[in-house]
Amino acid sequence: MTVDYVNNPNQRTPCVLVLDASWSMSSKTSSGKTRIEQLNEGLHELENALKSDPTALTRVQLSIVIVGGPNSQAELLMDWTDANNFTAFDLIPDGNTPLAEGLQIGLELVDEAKDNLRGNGISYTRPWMIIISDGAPTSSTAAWRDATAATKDAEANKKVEIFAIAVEGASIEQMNQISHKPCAQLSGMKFKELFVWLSDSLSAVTQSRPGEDITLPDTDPWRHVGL
Amino acid sequence: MHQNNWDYSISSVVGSSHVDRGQGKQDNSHLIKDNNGNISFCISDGAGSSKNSELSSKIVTNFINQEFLKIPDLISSKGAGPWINDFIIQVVVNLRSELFETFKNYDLRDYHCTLVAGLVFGNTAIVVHVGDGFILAGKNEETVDKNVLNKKLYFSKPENGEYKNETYFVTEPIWLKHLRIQVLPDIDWLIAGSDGGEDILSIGEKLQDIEIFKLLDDTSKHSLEYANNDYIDTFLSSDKSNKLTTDDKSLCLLISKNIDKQKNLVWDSEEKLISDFYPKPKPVQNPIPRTSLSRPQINTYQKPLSSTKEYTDPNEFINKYGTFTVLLIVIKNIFNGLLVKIGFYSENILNLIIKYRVYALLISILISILIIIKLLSFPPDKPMLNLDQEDLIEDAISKDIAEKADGEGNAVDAEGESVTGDAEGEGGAEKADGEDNAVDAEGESVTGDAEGEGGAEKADGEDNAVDAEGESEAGDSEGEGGAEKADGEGNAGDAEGESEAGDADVKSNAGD
Repeated sequence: MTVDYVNNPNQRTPCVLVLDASWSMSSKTSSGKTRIEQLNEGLHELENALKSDPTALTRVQLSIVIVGGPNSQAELLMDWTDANNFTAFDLIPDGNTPLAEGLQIGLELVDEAKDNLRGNGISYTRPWMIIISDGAPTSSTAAWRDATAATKDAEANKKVEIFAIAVEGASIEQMNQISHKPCAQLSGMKFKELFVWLSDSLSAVTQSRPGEDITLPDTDPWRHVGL
Repeated sequence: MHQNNWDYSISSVVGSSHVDRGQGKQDNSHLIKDNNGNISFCISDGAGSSKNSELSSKIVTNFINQEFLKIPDLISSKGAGPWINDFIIQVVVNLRSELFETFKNYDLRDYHCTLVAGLVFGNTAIVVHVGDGFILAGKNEETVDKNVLNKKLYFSKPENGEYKNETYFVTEPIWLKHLRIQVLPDIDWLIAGSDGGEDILSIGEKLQDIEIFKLLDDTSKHSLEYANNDYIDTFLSSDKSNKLTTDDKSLCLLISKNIDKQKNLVWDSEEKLISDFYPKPKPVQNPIPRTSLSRPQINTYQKPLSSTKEYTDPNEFINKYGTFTVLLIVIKNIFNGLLVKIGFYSENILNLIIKYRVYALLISILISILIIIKLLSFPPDKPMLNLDQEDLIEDAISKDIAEKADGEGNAVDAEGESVTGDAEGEGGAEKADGEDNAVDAEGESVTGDAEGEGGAEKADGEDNAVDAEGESEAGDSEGEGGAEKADGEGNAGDAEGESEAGDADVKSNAGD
């Protein structure tokens, strides 16, 4: 935990990133770079975007779950960290894609963040969960069914706002099972634009009726999402 | 009723994030005063999620103020009582009717706005609140040398959903559930605000005693005149305020003229404090116990956690754990990697097969059919030898014969020719050399199986057979006869036995 509620008692928007660092992310895209290279660039861009936005910088909390990677499993890579303490780093693609397990860890992290914030008397907005993957999970069918049921359930109950983002050449069918919203296709792997959009959206989180949707900066298909 | 006993200032300022996004000001604030010095104020914050909320919030502030100012007269005639609650509810019902009519719509989701309002008459306030924003009021105690501003405090808190950016609106169907009415008797100052105004006076969503006091204390240096909103407007527009919130912000400040501003204003920490209104933070379990899933805290890509030791010198690590352990770890990691790769490939192949299972099924059926056809056309119990193979076998046999022929002493020019037989040809020569002194013994058999043997065998059976020839053609047992007899006994010179195909009755010529 790299969060500081004493010096920064501002409201928070917890945002858990579930990132696919499996071996298949090492395949090249039409731009000539590998998927993981562009995801890594995107992470750096997220850091820059957050740091250039004073509101987001004080309000956003990040945590990162990787799926695959050197241990070939879903695991917590970065525990909850305030945006101003966040330093981007590079992921190395390796191993399987146990995405179902990654989703479950993501949901757990969301609950954990809320408990911590409540306990510290810090108000918060609806947490975000962003999944960036090429789909094709190697989790068992049962695990995948359970995990996607859990994410959809959490989304329907306004526990968390879920954004599934499919990289170029991903298995769209499975990515669409994660959320009630259709997954966004990162056409042309526009990771930079995605993370800048994320940062913009996080600071756009404003007043709304409980459970009501608000309008975010233009990025179909997520024009209207609940936050 | 006291007359003109309040100084006040009220304003709304657009937030920087709204300016950036080209949105208008969604906060609206309004204050009116009647001839008796009664004041009605109203702040309404239009929801960021509602596209026309700046229109509705304006209507709300004007409408509420007009209606609330009717209350003092009603109190004069009826006396105070529970009817005031009903009256206020009726005012909101009427307000909603006004909105339905104005916007020609019974669904007001595009017009959501909060309500922070109050009627101040004499030293009493009736405050009405739906949603976020706040109303804070206090009683002053004047001592010999100072004014203690926080002798009593009243607070109408913001009401949020689970999430900070979620609140309740006077425009939503279940507004009544969220309507809060409070009577604040005997107050000397009052500050009300939208959530943006609250941000400026807060640290971490909590109004700060020191900020409230500073705001009130500054008024002692100003004279707040009627219709002069500069004081709050300047405060809300300052750089400091813009740093604290990017949202629209509204504040309303009322302070009694009865406070003697020649004396110092103080905030007594012994009295009620604003911080007392907020729940104390619970001690937090940190980190929260990890549950079902294994979540190692090892951070592969970032700096190691302080609790784990980082080995920069491999020798140090090896010294600590021993070479063998390190070797095992290396081997384990290598195999681990291999297994992972194998697992990955096989899972992917399986996935592909599952994905294209229709094609996979067709291909496997096709292969099965091909195998069945192959089996049916070439039954395995009838091997088909071709002629080349036969020749090879024959050569191999001939060599064998020659070898054997020299096996024993003194066999000169022994030849055994057999055309088709497998073991037969051997027979002829072998036997020919069986014994000493067989010169020029020949055993020729053309077709027979065991026939060739006959001719030669017998010819060499005994010593001293010179030039014994046994020829048999095509016969089965016939060839035997001729040669056998020839050599039967010693000293048979030039004995020849010829037999021709098929005659089982041929008798020997020479033997007799």
